[in-house]
Amino acid sequence: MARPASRGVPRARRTLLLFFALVVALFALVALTGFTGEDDGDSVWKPRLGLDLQGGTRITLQAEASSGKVTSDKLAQARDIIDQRVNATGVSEAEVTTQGGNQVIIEVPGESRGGIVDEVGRTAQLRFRLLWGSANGGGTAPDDPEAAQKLIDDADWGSLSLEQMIAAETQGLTTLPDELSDAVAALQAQAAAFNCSEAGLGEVDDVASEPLVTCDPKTGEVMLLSPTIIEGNQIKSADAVVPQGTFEWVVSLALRGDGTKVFDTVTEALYAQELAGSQQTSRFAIVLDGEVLSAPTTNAHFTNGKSQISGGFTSDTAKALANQLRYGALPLTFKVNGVSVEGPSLAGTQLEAGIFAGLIGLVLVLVYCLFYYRGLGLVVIGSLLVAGLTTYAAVLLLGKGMGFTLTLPGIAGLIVAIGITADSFIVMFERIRDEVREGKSLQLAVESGWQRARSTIVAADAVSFMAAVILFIFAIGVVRGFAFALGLTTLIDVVVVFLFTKPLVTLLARTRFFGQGHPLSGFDAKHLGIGQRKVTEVGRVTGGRAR
Amino acid sequence: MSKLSTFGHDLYEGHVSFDFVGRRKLWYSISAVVMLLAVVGVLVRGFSFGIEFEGGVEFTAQVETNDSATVDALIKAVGDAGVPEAGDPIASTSGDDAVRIQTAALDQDQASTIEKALGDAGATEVSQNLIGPSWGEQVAKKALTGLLVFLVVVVLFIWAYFREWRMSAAGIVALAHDLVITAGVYAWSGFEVTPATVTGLLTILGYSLYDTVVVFDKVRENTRGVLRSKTRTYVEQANLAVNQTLVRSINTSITALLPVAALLFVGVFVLGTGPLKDLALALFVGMAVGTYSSIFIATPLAAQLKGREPSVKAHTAKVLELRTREVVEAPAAPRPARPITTSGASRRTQPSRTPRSRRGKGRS
Repeated sequence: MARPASRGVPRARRTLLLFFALVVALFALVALTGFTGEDDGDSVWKPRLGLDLQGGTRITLQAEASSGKVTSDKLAQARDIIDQRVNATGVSEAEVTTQGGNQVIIEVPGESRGGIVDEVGRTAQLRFRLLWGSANGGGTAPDDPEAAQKLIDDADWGSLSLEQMIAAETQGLTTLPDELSDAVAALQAQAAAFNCSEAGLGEVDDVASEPLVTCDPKTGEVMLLSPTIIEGNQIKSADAVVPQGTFEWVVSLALRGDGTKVFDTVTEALYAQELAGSQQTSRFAIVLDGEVLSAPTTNAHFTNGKSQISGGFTSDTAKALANQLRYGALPLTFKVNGVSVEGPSLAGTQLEAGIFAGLIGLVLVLVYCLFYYRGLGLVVIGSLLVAGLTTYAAVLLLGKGMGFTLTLPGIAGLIVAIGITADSFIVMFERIRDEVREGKSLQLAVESGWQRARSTIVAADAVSFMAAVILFIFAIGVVRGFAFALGLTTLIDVVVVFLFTKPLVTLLARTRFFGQGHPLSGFDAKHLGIGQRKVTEVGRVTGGRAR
Repeated sequence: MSKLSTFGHDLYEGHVSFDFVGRRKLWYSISAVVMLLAVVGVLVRGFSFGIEFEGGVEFTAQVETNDSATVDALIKAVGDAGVPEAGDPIASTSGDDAVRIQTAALDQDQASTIEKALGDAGATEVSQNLIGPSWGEQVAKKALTGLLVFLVVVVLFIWAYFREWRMSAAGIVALAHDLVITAGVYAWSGFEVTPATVTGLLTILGYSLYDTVVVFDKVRENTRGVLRSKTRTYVEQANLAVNQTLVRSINTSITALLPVAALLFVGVFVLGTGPLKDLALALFVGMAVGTYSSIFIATPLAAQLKGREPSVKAHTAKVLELRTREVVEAPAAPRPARPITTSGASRRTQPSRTPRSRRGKGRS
């Protein structure tokens, strides 16, 4: 084997081996994620399907320009808060993502949940309430919770003065007017039975004018709270700071208008309790969307509406609380831009149609390649097959790793990619044929043709990839799935051409079938139009006859 | 078959040659007329925008059989649902077991009412798609930004890769050509324009250039050192490149169009209206036009621009002058000779190969 071209053979074998090792490694990785990832009932070998393929609800919320400049920070905050709210409604598998710089997307697979749009999109309510009592919760529910709730709803809480409410905290609930005693008992029963979980909190109905039973999910403390004393819109500012001379993070809070006056009165009374040594009766609660954010004790009398909340904050928790206080939760107001509910059978039809289209497309391309390229068509089939396998593994991995879901446009992208992937094989084959026409022997032509095809393929794929990336960046909605699939397959195309198709052709050029230019190989002299010589020979008219 | 099989070879050798570059005026005029028609179509007829651009609700009701009686029943159900805003719904069948019904914009509660009414009227499953009025506009706005960014990036890329601004310019002109004609097809045919259509259009950008880059690469290869040649002009070499890549262009276009055709087929006949059809249609039209433009527009234009460069102009004149002198001596224009290359290396392979091929013959 002293021929120069044969030097490429061991290398081609090595490259092929490397490629197969890569594919095996990819699949091993997928299998591995099956063991480490949490078991969500789905097989790791099944790609994550988008809502349009498995059915579900998709809600698009768009930040209103009127709510101030939409920054990515604010949008991310809004996303987190909406995520919490969606989860609080008892929908566990929902995914909340940001998109396009000013949108938040809520996706709920499986069920029809168009109704949650009302709950998640509204601006959250932040309220200050007095802490009337604490309980451990988790007890048995009262016999007739609805009747108890009606009792509470019907009671005349509006006639209570601020002083009466403060007295209820500092001197006990018995100081409340007698006509409220039944409702108070119902509230206490509610508190005793309260379940401090996401489900329990999800059922809390935060009505400003009524007392509230809820809990602090961070501590699990169940609280019976007074009607609202200060509304969230009375907050002028809230910041996470480390006051001079201290080392502890606090949240500094400034109120405005009536809030200042109320806070003056409240902290005066509560601070007196604190001084008297009664920590518990000096507390008030800040409630966000029916959930206690913080229930600090009062250790000063604040007359100018400025105060600080302290107590074991880290920089992150202080900032989070400050943000929640400042924005009343959502830093932006949203309007509903779109709600789409796909029923499972429609989704099933779309999935089938997508797979069907893919199969037709694949078969058409293969038939054409076999017709035109004969034996080389088999190379195309093999290459598309491994490209398909690699893509499949990549889709599975990306699904696990970064939550990539396969949507109908995504499948369309993969199908369109079949053609574009086959294109790069064609560019290569035609180049090799050109080289043979130039007078090179087939084995030499494979190498020199590849040298030239390589840069063409890379340049053309680079353009294709750029198009996909730009499409991905600027597209919104499910269109991104299309762009992602297109970009992914373009990359895989380059890998397959370099590591699989080229070495394969190098090796095949040494076989009798291809190397000697069998009429069905796609490299036959007649097909190439070099009738006077065999493809094994260099370009000189030898007088030999083509078969 | 034999004609088809040797076609590529004849093109390569120049035995068969289409004068793509020389007859550019013809191609330009054809394209100009088509583009003019397209622009007129866009201006006069405009686009029929999908529900995504207007806002509204689209219900997809799964039914047993979607005959006209069922459709009528569903439309009546929408009318009787007690939601006046949903009056005059547009219904279309989709596949053989689904009906799509579009209404004006509704809020979530009204949509739920209609959904329930459809269910009562015999739909086994109702999907709804509530679209805010700004949705499509946003998609279009984003797409336009994407288009501009893409154009800038591509101009820079082609310029950097080919070291030739003329190719950037020609590539962009070809791209604009494809987009205008595709838009024209949409305007004249009245196909609905949806966000999926816009996506298809953006994808065409990538594909059209893919094709153009392949042809340009060959042009660059063929014209390398052409200014030192005494027999060939730049324009001739560029034309040879288009001819040599013709089979490649045809094959890549066919393989790219086949899957898109499959998508279109399934989109139309299995799913009825929907994003798949819109996407595939835009891709199909755009890709076909894209192949045309990379052969008939991009390369002739690049060659023409290049031909205006003083050094190329001078060279062309010199070659033509040499040629007229030769004509006096030898009447026939020299047929391009097949370049014959031999290398010592390949000659050495001969002895070991010939016996093997004989052995092979003997066995079979």
